[in-house]
Amino acid sequence: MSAQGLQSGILGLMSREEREQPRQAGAGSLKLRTGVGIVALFALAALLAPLLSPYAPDSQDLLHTLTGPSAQHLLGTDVVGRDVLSRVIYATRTDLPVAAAAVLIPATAGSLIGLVAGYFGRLTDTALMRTADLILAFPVYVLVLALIAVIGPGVGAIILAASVVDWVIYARLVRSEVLRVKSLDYITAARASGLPHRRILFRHVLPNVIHQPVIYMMSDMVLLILALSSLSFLGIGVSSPTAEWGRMIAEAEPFLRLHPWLILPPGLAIVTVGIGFALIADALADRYRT
Amino acid sequence: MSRFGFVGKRLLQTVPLLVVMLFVVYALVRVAPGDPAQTLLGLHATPARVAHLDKELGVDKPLLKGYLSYAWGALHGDLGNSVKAQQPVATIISNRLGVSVWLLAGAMLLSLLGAIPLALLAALRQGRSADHGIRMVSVLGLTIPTFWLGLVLVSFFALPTGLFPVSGFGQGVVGHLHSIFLPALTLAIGIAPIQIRALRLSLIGVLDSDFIATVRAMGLRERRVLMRHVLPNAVSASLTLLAAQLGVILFGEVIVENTFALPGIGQAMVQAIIQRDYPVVQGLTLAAALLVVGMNLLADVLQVALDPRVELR
Repeated sequence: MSAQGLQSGILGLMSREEREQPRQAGAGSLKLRTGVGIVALFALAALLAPLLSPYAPDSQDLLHTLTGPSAQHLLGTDVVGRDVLSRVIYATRTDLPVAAAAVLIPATAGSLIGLVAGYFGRLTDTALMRTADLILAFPVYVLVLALIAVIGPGVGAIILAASVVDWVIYARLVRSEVLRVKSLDYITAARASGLPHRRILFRHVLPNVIHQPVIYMMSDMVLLILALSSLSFLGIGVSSPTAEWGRMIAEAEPFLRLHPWLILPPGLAIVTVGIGFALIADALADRYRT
Repeated sequence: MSRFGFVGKRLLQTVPLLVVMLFVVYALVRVAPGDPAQTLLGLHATPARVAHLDKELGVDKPLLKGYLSYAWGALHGDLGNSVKAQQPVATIISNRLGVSVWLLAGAMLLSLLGAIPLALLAALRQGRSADHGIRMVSVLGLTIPTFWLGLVLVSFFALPTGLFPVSGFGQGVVGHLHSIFLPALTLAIGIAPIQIRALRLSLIGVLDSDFIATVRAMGLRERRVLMRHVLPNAVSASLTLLAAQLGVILFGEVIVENTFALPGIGQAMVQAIIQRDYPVVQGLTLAAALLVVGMNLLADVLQVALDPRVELR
């Protein structure tokens, strides 16, 4: 795919025209606060899952299955009588860390590669850009699926497959920023004063380019949470007794006709946390790109 | 450079890409941990069967030789045989391609039908509440998981009303259209937000441009300005974008086919992954890669053919 166009289309990353539109005062910080608030709530839920959950996520109650919402079970119970609310809360402990790992690993690796390639240029740079073009010429998600097939379904495969593909985006993003910063006077001055490359890179270049990968990481979290839950729904991600939102929806699927409410809590959890990250991405993009 | 030369150059550029793509697809089975044949057949398989399957998968040969014979086969439409289904991979693809193409075409059509008017409305009402509303909805659309949206449509619309089938592909053209509608709508809602966002921007650019100011100054009615001069630009921009989105759309196809039990290529892909049917995974990956490369090529060529202002590089 022509990655740049698409990526800028996805969440947050705005083009020049969009940026230059007049903003209402304060809208940016409201967006940021709402986004951070939502994400913080989910992070808190993950940390405090044992305290917040009324039941253990895997404790079955075969006498009270598929009960629907009640005072004992606020969001009802599933087919083996597990408390849906507790499972939705516990799922934050699967979805968030796995998605975060699948974002952080390629973001770190890709940013470092982009930093080095952009700064030193020449052969490193050419090799990087050709590799990037090749990976992006593939339908990225199909490549992820193929890698999962080879490695075998599971969390590790998803993180690895996402890393193999996703670093390219960060590398390109950071590289183009480094090319811009490199030609600025203060870098020339730092070079002229004989500072070692390593110090220039990490003390002078990195701080001025790092906002780009950070903004994209927020959008990437949305994409990875969606990918993780989709793959788990398809049966090639997180496997069954583990509480995971996509898996919960798959487990509820056979009962759609009589108990359609079962698919709502995990789905709404995915959408809500996604909106949280999307708002952060949007607000940061507004702030840094004017 | 002449237009003809440009197309030729673009075609030539894809040749090395295809060579490497074929290699990546072939290498998939070589990087699989352990002996793929042993993994497929289980620990109790006889050595003779394992050796036979090794041969079938082409992993008994040296890397380069194995690659060349895989590539040679692929060029002749031979993608090997499914290990589980005892069927050539090419047959699986051709049997299932129809369903996937119906779904893809339906979803693209529905997404354009939704995105173009909404983007136009947002661009015309730029900065006002309609614009803000449309942009909010499109951000929301990006955070909704496709499979969940499909199930919500099934359980709160299709099942209670009984208006649409919730699985299968139906009989005849009418049956196909009937059963493809909800899946295509689900997929389209996943595609449309990015379309709306990008189109809105390009439409704002078009509406501000000198040639629109000129035709307006010539006293053309607003309706005619939109239909004759603004809209064609929008359609051509969204077609290019659709080609660029194709990789993501194909993942959506995989999800939607499995959500609605449509017997297409995406369903075969997930089955093959679960069963570790490597030849099928390889064949389908290759088919998807070819489709994406082909569509992007087509989009480039169409753009050159349709828009004389495009710079040839």
